Amino acid sequence: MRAAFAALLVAMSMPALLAAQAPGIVQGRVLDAVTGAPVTAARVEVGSWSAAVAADGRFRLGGLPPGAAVLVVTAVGYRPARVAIDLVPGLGLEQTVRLEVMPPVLPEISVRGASGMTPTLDHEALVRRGNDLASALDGWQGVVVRRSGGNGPAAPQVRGSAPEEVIVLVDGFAINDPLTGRADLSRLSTRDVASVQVRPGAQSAGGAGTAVGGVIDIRSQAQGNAQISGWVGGHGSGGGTLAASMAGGRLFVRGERLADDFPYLVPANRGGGEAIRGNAGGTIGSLSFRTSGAVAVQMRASGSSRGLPGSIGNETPNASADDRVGFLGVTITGRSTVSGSVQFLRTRVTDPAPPSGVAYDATSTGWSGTADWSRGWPLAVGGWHGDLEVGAAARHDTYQGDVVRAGTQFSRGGVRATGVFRPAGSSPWSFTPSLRLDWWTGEQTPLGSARLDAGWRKGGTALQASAGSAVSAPPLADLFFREGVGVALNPDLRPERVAWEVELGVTQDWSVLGSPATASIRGYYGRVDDMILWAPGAGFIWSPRNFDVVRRGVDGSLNVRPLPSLTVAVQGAWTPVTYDVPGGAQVQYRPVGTWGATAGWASAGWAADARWRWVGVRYPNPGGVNPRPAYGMMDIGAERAIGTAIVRADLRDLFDTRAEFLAGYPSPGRTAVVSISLEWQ
Amino acid sequence: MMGQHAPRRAVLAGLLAVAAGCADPQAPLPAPSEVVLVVNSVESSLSVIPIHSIGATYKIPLGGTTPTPVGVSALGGVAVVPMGVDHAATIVDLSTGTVSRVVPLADGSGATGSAVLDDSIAYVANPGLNTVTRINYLTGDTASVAVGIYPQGIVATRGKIFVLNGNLVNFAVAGPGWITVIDPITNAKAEGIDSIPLPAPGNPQFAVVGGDGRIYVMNVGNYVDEGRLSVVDPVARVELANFGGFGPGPGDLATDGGDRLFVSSFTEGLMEFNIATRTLVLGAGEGIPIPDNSGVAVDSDGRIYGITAGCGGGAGGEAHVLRPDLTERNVVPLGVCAIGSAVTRIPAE
Repeated sequence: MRAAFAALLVAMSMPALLAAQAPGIVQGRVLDAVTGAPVTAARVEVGSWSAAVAADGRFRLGGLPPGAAVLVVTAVGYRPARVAIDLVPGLGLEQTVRLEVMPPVLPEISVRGASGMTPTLDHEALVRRGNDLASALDGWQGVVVRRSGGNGPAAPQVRGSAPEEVIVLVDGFAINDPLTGRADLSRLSTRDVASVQVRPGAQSAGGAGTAVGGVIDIRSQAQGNAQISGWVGGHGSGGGTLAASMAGGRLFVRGERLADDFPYLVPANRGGGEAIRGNAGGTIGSLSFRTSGAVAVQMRASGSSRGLPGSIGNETPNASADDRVGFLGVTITGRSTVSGSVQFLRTRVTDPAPPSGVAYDATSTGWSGTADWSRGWPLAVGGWHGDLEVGAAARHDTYQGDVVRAGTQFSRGGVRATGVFRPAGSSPWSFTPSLRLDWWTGEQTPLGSARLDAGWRKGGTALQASAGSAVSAPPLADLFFREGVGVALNPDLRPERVAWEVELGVTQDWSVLGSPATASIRGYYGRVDDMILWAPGAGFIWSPRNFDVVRRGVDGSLNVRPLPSLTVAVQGAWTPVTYDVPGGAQVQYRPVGTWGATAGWASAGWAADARWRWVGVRYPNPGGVNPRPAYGMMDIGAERAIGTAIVRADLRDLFDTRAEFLAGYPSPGRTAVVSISLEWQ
Repeated sequence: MMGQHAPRRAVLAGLLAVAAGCADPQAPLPAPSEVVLVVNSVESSLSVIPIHSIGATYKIPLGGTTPTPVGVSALGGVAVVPMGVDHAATIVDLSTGTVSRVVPLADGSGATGSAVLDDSIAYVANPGLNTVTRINYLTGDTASVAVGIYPQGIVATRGKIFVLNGNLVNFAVAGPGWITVIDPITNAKAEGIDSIPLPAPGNPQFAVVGGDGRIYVMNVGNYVDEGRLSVVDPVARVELANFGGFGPGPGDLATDGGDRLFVSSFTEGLMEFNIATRTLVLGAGEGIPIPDNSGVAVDSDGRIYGITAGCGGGAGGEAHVLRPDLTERNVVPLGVCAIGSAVTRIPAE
């Protein structure tokens, strides 16, 4: 415990300790803690620098800033390892890391990214970016968070996808609501998260068959010291967290009160001027407990009671939503890995006096169960060697209540095979093929997905090429909603498919005058068949309908450390996603451009950071007219370590832009937040 | 100061006098330009089709935050577009092609259906509030009056406002609809008969004044049962007759000012009714096959504009321009989800 605490302190004060200018090197091997076999699919990271592991388990990271740092090693199926290291200028540090098996995380999905191209945010960076993951990830690496109300559910979009096309995994279990298909990032505290990775694009080949837009892979804090934190902010916001290791596991508790009654700019068609946005507040609470080992258990429970204030032009001062979620997941690891989960969800939305005059009080309750089996084998064929994993998954969802038809049930199953192969010797090449077949309710024939990632790495240069397809079942909300005048089910609704998508990227590490830097750029082009969007049809009756879409774009990032105490990162994404018709317009609520920049400075127990994010214009309709304005926001923060305490002050939306979020909801504007966290063994 | 400006004013007055002397007081005014207006609902824009140069069709963005416009009314150079759940009415200056004013309506209005009465007054129906609002579109002043249940269409004729009450409850047909008659001078229910019953299947949505001066009202129903056309006498304020034969869910109406009444239908295409003989010329099963026919308009040359909604993403709607003999002459691209149309003449500057 003490060592981990020390490592954490070292990590937080790392920039201050970087005095020397010559770069450091860390190299070594990543091995299975039980079998001693090389863990070939592992990834090693130090700060913003990362590398893949070779076939013999060896890795090498060069060009690192000297001084104390934390080496983070992750691999699918293993518990992440964090090792405190001290980098001596010009000398190589040999480090062997033994990973403990933590079965897959993936009851239904295996994520296999190509080397060198997976953006990652670590715990410290996440906490500085916001209290919850919705705030922390908005605008990062092309992720755009779509909120329902100022503080309402917030689901991510990636690469021009819809929110329901992005699978969000927490320690391998998908947290997407089976009814809406969306994952609410506002339920996840950044203080409970160790790292977040984004794998954009067609990623369903090895997984649940639903990752048409991408995967956000979240690893929770599995170990560490006891910690308590609290904060107060503007507009009545505040909260606290408690984390502790106990009974062989990790307990995390969160309670938060959301901002309410903040000023916002009234649109011209509602009279203009400024008004106070009420009914935006509420409370969120959550509790989680997880253990690791041969039998790993995850338990989560969360509840929220939030106002539904309506959009910027359509205020609903009396609407509210109450949500309850309970989750239990168990993973047993042996020769094979078996996991299962059961989830309960309950949502109640009410408005006793809506502006339309038609009061409603609707409750829906759902149960979801999953089961997954997988087993891996080492393979060596014809001068190639690697690992092959095969698996099978099943899932059943059932819902009842006021918003779905009676007897709403949906079952799905799939089989998959995923491999990682390399030529013998010290070849810079690696190949990761994946195949998957899915069945689900209503589909007569299996639906296939395939993906091939090819990686090449030599020195500081990594290349990646991918080709893949994906398929996604419609969300239950699109299949089983209750019909009415003006809305009707679409019996011809088809699953979404990425028929094909190709991707090419390059990452380059280099060091100039002792200042390490990493640049990455990636381009992609693909076709999405039958994207599901709501639109009116015959009789002007609205239904979920299928549309063909083309998505292409470029995203890139640059990370530099011009001074030992200063880090700067810039990243952007250009994402045209258009209807596949002549002159097709941008799909609604998909910004073409997003970019962001962060700068962090730390010295002698002090730290300061600034973050800028910009989300470009997006269209609320498929006609490409009436664009909603782009918005840019800057957050700044400063913190001071005092003994075992860290005191931090933030100013969010420094320039008080009072922006209109993605889909027309007002933001609280400039908000001050003061927090303190304490940590002990 | 006044002394310094006096010579300049004298020169200006002189120039104006010369200019006035040069103008021919007998010269005819420039001809107004006639246009067909189509609301593109999902993209919230107004397509403007100049009838004599349809290749110069252009769009005017209507803005809004959550707009759901489904209709337009116009008089001269002014168009009024109720913005649905944006709870506002957008006033468009057609001579400049811009939105001149957005008139906020009460929360929950759901503004649907409008009529322009004269050079300053328009009416907008608020189905969410069971009222209609009189709007001075020059000043933005508003005044509302209660009408029936779920008002969703308005016709102005004979100095009165005729409001179509859909009688929808929770968006379902609760029974036959009716017309409430409003006197725009008092902005209250008209003296005498102020309510005109309409027949089943209910849900009166569309109306037009025919060449015979009578009001033709389409009772759309629930999109399953057959719709029915009512003929209403605006003077006696009574329904004279009603007719079927239009299939389920008939839509918008337009007249050529003479005997021809056109009926659009998503399911049946473009149908025709003769108001002189009160017979179906083209009924259900015989309609001109215009796909997703969401609306119809007729210009002063007798050309018929059958609107295809085109709600498919990005593809947009179309106006099928038909000759009076109903053969196709042109196809004009419109915006996404074209629904609701009007014809007006924009005065020359």
